[in-house]
Amino acid sequence: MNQPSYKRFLTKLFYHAPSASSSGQHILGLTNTSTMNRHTKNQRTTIRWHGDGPGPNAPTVNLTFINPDDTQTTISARVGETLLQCAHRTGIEMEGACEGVCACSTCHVILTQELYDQLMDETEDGALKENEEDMLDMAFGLTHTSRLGCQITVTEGMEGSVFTLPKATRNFYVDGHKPTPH
Amino acid sequence: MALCIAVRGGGGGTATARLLTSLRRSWCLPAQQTVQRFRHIPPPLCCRQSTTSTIATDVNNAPSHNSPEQNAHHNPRRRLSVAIVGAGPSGFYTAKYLSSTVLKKLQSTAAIALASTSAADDDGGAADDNGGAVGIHNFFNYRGIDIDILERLPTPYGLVRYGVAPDHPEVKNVEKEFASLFIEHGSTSDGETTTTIPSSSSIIANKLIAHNSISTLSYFGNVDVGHSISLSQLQSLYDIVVLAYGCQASDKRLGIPGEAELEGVLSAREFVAWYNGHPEFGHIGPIVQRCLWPKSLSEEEGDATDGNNNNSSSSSDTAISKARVVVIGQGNVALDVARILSKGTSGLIDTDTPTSVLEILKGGVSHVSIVGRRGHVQGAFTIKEVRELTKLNDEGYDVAFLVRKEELEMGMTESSVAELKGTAGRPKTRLVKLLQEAAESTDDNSASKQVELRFLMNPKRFEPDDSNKDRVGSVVCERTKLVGEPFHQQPIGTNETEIIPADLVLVSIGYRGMPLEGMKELQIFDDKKGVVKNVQGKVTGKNNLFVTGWIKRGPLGIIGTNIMDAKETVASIIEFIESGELNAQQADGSKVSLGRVGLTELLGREGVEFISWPQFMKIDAAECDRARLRSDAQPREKFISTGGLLKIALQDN
Ligand SMILES: Cc1cc2nc3c(=O)[nH]c(=O)nc-3n(C[C@H](O)[C@H](O)[C@H](O)COP(=O)(O)OP(=O)(O)OC[C@H]3O[C@@H](n4cnc5c(N)ncnc54)[C@H](O)[C@@H]3O)c2cc1C
Ligand code: FES
Repeated sequence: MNQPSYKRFLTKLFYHAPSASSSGQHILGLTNTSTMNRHTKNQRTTIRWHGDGPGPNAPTVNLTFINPDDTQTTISARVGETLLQCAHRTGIEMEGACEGVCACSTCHVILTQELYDQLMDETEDGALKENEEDMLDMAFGLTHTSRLGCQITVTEGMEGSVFTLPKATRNFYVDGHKPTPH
Repeated sequence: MALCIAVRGGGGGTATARLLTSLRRSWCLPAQQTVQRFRHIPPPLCCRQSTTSTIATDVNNAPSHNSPEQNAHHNPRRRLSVAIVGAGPSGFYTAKYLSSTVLKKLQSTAAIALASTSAADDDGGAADDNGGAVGIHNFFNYRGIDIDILERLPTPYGLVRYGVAPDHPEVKNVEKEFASLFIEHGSTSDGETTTTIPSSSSIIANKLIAHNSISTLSYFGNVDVGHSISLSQLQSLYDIVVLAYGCQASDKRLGIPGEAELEGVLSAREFVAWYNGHPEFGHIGPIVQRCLWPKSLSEEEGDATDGNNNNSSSSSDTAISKARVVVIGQGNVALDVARILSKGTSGLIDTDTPTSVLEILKGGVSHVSIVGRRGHVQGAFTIKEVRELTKLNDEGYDVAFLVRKEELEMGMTESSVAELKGTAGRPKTRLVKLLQEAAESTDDNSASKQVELRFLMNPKRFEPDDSNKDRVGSVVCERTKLVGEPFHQQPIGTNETEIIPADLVLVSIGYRGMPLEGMKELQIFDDKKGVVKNVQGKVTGKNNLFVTGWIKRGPLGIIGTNIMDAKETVASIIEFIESGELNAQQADGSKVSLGRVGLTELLGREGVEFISWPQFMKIDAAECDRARLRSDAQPREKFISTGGLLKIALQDN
């Protein structure tokens, strides 16, 4: 290996970001929206969860995500955005296949019992909306405190809350999950 | 390890890299620019010429020691080439997670290298020798990844485009995410795709990597693996081949008398592909038309016929077919087809259902029965789809939903009750409650159409129609009862028979995976299960094959299930590389993975007209052209023949 040239490449690579790999943050799966909009403006491609959220001046709370690889990422969430919008804005690896309209269950996230109960108390009749519950029934790795990220709105009361993203085990298929038939 | 790569990847590798850059310029740019460039340089031709000539020159003139390109030639690291067979959800999710995982790997190996090269400077060299991190060193040898998705149809998205029901447009939203991968990864390094992003340092680093085109993605539509190119050719062109070709080629059959012989017994798979405008299923339309609108039925419609023309397409758009349709099987696909048939034009006008399909479905069908051998607790459908049926009338589609109370009671055996217990039974319990409410419902049934769920009915044979011996007329069913332990109950015949009239039968008991051409010899296909044999996504045996999606685990699960599945396969690919297995397989040095360049050359030689992503974007734009649409709300009017799709894609502007 030609060390000097490789080193130059690396230096170029990390010139602006010396601590890139030590931060342990999860940054992939980031959707580059402003580019998308630029290139596909005339082709119906806008991503709803990015467009509608509260602006940068909204009050914020700190939320921590436990990523599928067990690392943790703490981000600053804007009050009023959905958890899915927040995840996509900050590069958290949460899928949103149906773009946040409660039709895919890929934004599944696991809450602490405490937060789950707290959010339940805040609902009108102490229960989840029927369509969220219906979609959750198809979610991978369903737990008692599972919710859909696109159906949770960030509130001031969530400061410091922790959310766990469901984990893909190497052996996901044999680990007891029976995929929903189709 | 690094040395071995250096030998293999020497001159040709650099030429390849240079070519890749020029290729990327011509076909991987975001749609708008590329479409323009296409006019000047048709890619197959330009690639064909330059591929052969440049590589030849390079091999003949081995670089001299002091050439200005010395650094590049001595850089042993090359790009990982990956072919993905099939552009459905599993193929796209694999591309997404494979490229993000490789980026992550490169970030961490780059950081380690940065640390170790400075260490090397300090102590005078030999940093490469610090043992231990073998896996990382195997990764070191790649400076990027090029992923090519090959698809037999001109259009991508698999069952999202040709399976998911058109009245579920929100499920099809995922197409936008898949398309965005081409914008993120299909770029040159000329700054087109940079943008302001959150200023976390690692994101900047990531962006810099993306900026250097560490990861590129290309689409080759209209390339049928097994026909346009053989699997073994693909395996020798690419470092890694991922099979993601799904289970759309066949379906499970009942194997009962009349099924194969009588007209009007179709599989739900064929019917679904037809109503979604799949270019290979246009022939299903006339069959459906003859079954739903036979002469006698269309004459019953007062306004239907105009005397000398008994072609029923002249009856009004809102005419309701008096036909009776029997759907056999109780999964979500069965509910989809029943709902589409019942809704008819009024429920589908604002969807992407092709106009030619609406002309046949018209106002919908008056009777649909969905029949299953087992009880309601064992049904394979999910609550969301059942709830949709219960709401059809309230939503104004004029369709009543019927469930028979006595069938629910018969199905509630002790074992069934036990199956509802516990956390795992929660979704089922909610579903059972919904069905019970539907059975109790006293809503007046004045709706003109109805959908009925029938349980504990086992189809035994199909009988011909009285007036047309070649066409189906009824389904003879035997009443069953459930016997056995919880989760192992079997439907046992009771000798009690019921005959259900049927003008059209849709058998919906499952899709079935098939081997690709040439796979039989490799002994990697499990005929019984209809899947490619694998361990966590690595195809069994000494090969560079991986598998993901339906063809890996069988035709089960929703779109989201393919995410976890893809992650498992990606983990296996990474392990295959990091364990040195890939290098070991390529160690004889005879193999240079030409990847994209080699594929383009081969397709050109064979005369295969492939569709690039920008060319597909032309199809996409043409389908959404307002002039084609029935209404402002209709998202697109699909082109429904392969010829039509190719024409749009390949035309000059
Ligand atoms: C009728 C129906 C409705 C559904 N509705 C929903 C829904 O509402 N929500 C949901 O979440 N899930 C739904 N699903 C499930 C979902 O569609 C699947 O989970 C998913 O499509 C499987 O992805 P796949 O990539 O494995 O296969 P596919 O989607 O089938 O993709 C495989 C691709 O490979 C291509 N291919 C095949 N052979 C070759 C070859 N030789 N060479 C090159 N390419 C090839 C095919 O043309 C296809 O594009 C539905 C499924 C069906 C059948
Ligand atoms: S994003 Fe689809 S259900 Fe939340």
